[in-house]
Amino acid sequence: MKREKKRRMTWTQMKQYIPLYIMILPGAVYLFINNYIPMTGIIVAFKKYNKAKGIYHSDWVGLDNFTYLFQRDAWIIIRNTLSYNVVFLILGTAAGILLAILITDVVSKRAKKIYQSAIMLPFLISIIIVSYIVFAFLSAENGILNKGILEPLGLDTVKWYSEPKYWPFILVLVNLWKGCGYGTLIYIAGIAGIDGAFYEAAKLDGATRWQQIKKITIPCLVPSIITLTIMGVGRIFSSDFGLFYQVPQNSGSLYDVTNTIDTYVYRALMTTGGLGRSAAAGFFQSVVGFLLVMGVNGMVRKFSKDNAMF
Amino acid sequence: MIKSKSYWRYQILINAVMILITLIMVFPLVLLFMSSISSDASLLKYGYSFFPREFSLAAYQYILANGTTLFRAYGMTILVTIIGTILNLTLSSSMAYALSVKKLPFRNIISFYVFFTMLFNGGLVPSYLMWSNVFHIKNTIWALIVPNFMLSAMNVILIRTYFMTSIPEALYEAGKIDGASYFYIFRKIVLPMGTPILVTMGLFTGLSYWNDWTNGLYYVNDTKLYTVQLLLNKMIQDAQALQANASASSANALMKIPTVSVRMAIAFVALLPILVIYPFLQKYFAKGIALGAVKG
Amino acid sequence: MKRKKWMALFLATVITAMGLTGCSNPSNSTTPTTPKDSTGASQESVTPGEEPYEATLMYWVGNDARDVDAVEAAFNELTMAQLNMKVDLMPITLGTYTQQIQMIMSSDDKLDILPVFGSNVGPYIDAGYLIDITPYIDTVGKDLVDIIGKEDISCCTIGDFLWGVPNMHERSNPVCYVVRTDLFEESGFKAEDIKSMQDMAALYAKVKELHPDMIMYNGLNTLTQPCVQTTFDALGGGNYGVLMNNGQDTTVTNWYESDEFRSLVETMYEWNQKGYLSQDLATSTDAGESLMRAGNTFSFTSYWKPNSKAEKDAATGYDTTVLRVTEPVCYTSTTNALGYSISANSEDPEKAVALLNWIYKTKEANDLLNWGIEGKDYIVQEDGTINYPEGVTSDNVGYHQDFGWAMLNQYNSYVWDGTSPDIWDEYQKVRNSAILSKAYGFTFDTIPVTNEIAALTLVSNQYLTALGAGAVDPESGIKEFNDALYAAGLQTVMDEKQKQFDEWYSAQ
Repeated sequence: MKREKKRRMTWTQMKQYIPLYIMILPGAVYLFINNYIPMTGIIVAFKKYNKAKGIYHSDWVGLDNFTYLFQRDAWIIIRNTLSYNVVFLILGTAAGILLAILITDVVSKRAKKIYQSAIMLPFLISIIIVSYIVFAFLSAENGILNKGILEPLGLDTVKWYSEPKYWPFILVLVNLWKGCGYGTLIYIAGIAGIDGAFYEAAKLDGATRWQQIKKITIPCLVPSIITLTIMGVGRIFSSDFGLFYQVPQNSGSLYDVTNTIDTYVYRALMTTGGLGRSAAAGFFQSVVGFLLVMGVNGMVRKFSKDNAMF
Repeated sequence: MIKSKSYWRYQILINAVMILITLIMVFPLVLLFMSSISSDASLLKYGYSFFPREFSLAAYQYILANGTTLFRAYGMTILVTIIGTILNLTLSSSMAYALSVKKLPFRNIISFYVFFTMLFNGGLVPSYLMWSNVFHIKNTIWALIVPNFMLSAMNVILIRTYFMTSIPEALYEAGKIDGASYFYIFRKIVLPMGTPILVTMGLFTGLSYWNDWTNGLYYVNDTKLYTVQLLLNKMIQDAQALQANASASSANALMKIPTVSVRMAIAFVALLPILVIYPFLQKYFAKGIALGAVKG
Repeated sequence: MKRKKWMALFLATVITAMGLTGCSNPSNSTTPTTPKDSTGASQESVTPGEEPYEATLMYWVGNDARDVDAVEAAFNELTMAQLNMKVDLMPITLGTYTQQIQMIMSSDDKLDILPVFGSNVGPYIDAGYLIDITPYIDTVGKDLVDIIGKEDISCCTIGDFLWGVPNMHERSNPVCYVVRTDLFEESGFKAEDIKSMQDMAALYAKVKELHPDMIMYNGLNTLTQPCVQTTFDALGGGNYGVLMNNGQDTTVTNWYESDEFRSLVETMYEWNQKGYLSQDLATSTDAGESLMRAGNTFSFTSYWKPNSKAEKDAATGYDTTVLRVTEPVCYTSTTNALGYSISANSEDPEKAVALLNWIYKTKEANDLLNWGIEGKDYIVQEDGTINYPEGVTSDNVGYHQDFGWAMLNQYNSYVWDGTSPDIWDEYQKVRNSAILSKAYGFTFDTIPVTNEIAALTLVSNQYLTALGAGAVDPESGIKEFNDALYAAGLQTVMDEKQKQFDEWYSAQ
């Protein structure tokens, strides 16, 4: 039905939308310049870059630049990247929603403000600094955990930076600590946008707080959750370089659990460099992310067209 | 209205949980601050501690001596953050509004055009070539504002989602019937009602400008244009580069690497203004949310 | 009205987009790489009336100086008069350099002379970022040959490609242990007692007994003795296949399977078991100097130079004793570790080489770049060393780098207060008496084995620092390490190295 209408749309009908297109234009132009023009540089992933010939005129080499990505340990690296991201995505969403609900439910305005600021604080610190803080906790020689807790209790100290088994937890914890403020704030805004009348009606019906959350709050947050999830899925093959490189202090003993695609590429290219190779890695990550996003978005579309991203 | 017992029990419970979380969030930062005012010797001898064994401001003196332009850099950071955030919010919100109008022809294609930028990027070099060789923004204030942060697809999409879900479509239509233009609806209805998300996005954008040092690193080498983060991160970057290339010749320079307490102090100096400004922002933030909740 | 404006903006964007594509057209590459017919004619005689050449000089510095403009003005006064060149100074700190250099090199930014790490040069040449200066070195660059020496300059070749000249840092990197003199003397040991890493064990045992709370050994994780290259020639491209015996062997072998490596690692492991090492050594990013300054570190490893003691005393705040444990040997990779090259962006490479040549031989130029302006940033003292003028300190000086090791020619420049004025003669003496590797002047071209090198780098990142810090049992660790190296293609790299080296060696 709708489609029919659109097809028959005349110029006069189109005209009413011109103001909207004008509102889109500045942003679209910016994206064109800032993102789309440089994006064409991706083709260097398939070329043997030579400065004299430039990015666009260098010789084609097919998939040569990609081979280094699929060498020894490629499987472990992909596994790490994927599983960390899935865990981050699930825990991040859960923590964000939970915290948002808790904070909005707090009555005291001042307390609300304090909690909100507190969860945002870690978000303000750069990851290099986070790595220093983590080191202050985990340093085998001077760390708080060893020197302040384990030693006084008479327990054996742990060389944290050479024990891979602890790191999946540490990394998840650090990521949650640093990142949960972002989702939380978005969900708080989402909850703020829910029509208060819903809750009033629910209260009149005698619904408990838990029922209200289940039946009103979460369903109303679904669009935001879907949006954030789809965006997360798009980056599922990328990883926060700082988190996996700086925070574990680039410790070799931990590679099995800390090596992700981004740290792998960084380490591999440190000595050999190459525009083509780094572009190849980026291209690979983007394509996988793109395919996954299209899949998820398609699924969402099937169930509810309005919630799909496009 | 009389609050029931279970209501109070619930309040106590959630406050207790939030206080615990607040402590978890804040403790590492306290540790950061305490380390920055401890002497290096005490850190290496007695370990890190929430209570400094030997008080010392040497780290801050080091920063002041090495970053004489620190105050100027604060000013530059604030300026860039304000201009950048305003530009970003203007561009994002108007784009998001247009894309939230469900009847807009080509809406999906345009949304995809926006979203696609989040997935693919051509890497640093092509961006650099363009900004530097075509637009010549090197060593201008625009170098700190325009590349990368002036509009983010993420903001547009999140704002759009919010507009679509939290502003009843009836209001869009009602305005139309009254003969109001889209601009008018945007200004008078959508923007006020979208305050919660705009404030949130403004905060995030402001933070990304505040925290950014990559633009400065790539496009600025005039010390007059240094931002705080650039100044501080350069200290860290230089130290790391020295370590990575620790050859015989550089061994002499290694001694100038900032020590433990200095690194902590650097972090704190970068954080301090936010800690000072944040409570004020919070006021607007809370207001924005309250405003959003009032409607309906 | 409004629409028109946007339309115009859109058009402008499209045009710039096309401009970008156009940029990549090889406009620069048409610059001939053969020298102009200027045989004999001294480039430095200024032809009156000729437009001055505008050159851009990038060089490493230690800090962002407040007053680069004044230095640049003074520098230009010299270059305008002597070379008819206007030079744009581009001081760059190491961190910024590592982040920016790839972008700058691939852009069309003005750039003539730039500093490079010799270990990165292979990919740069492959991408066409640098210019082969062979055609200029004997004409406009002839002073460079005199100053640096033909042998040392040849270290900057890969195949026939002369990518630049080494800067004037030391030419050999013997390893030394820096120990605190007070504790050293208390232990009753003499400097003559320490000849090797293994000799340190007895010393540590004694000092540990006297001061159980002290950490015997600490420092950067990449500077432990098993991690540094001292007794073998790695030929470039990492320690994957080396010439053992101070580079006197001519067969490429695997260093990580050698008895020497095993012995170093075992010693480290033993020290760790005995509690001599810092628990954080395997991941330590703190320099031994600053750790010693904090008071509970007894010793750390460093590279030895003629003026090590003075430097370490200043850096650690303690009276130190420097114990050298390996011989000075010259390897290509030591000499070419830091060099200065001509960028492919240079409009006139010949003039760029002439400028490089002029800087190396002109004392005032080197003084300006490192120490700033005489009378304002420094004054010359009676003994020939320099110091801050009255009222000037490190906090308010306009320009002060003290970064000679990374600058162009520190040998031809003042030394700072506290350093012996004849320090450069001592450097030269060490260079001349050092053992010369048989591969001196040869650099391995890594391009044919790029993928293998990438994989090997990952493997050695994973294992080497942990082994070097004695954190892993050498029994199983070394084997695991080597298995991983072979799995990553070590044999291929070694074969390629041997092939290239044999070709080069037979041509000598």
